[in-house]
Amino acid sequence: MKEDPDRPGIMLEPYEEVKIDTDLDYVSGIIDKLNDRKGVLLDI
Amino acid sequence: MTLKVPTRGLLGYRNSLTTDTKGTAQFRSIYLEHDEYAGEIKKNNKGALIQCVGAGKTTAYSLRKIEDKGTLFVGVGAPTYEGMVIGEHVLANDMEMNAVKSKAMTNIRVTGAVDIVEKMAPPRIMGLEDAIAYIRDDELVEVTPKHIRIRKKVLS
Repeated sequence: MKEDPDRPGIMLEPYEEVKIDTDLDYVSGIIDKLNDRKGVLLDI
Repeated sequence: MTLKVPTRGLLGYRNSLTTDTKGTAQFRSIYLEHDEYAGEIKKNNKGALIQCVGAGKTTAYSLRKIEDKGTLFVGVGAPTYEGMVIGEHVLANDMEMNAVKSKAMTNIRVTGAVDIVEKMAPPRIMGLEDAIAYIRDDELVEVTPKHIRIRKKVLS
């Protein structure tokens, strides 16, 4: 974690772009679990 | 599908994904950017089973009883020490257990001692990533060339 140089006091953390290819049956479960881990859906 | 996830949120996730999708999912991730802190990530709220007496090797006799309290992280004959986390409790509170207690010697011989070990569920062996993702604020991961263990910060 590091402080935002433009906004003092705001902490930044690294984010990753995650691509998952799987059957449609598993999609909702995966999204639920990654939402719990603070993930945000970009594209489906 | 594509998602943006904090790097710390991906710790230990690959195993979970493999289990959930029965190994059929393909997973790729690459650094995207630094962004605002996303907040606390919720961890499981189960307590720990802690070795409560001094160093020693675990016995089938005691592990068989401890197994009823939750999931074990160590198998029979594993070296343990006071304060080491030997399993996950089914309830939210921590519980101290004695995993090195051996059965008192008697004149009675019982067949099927080997069956006890065979009937026990295999221990949950964690890798470094899983262990880091698993620990709570009052725990540490101990890494040695041969073992990865979880222990309490304060051992006794």
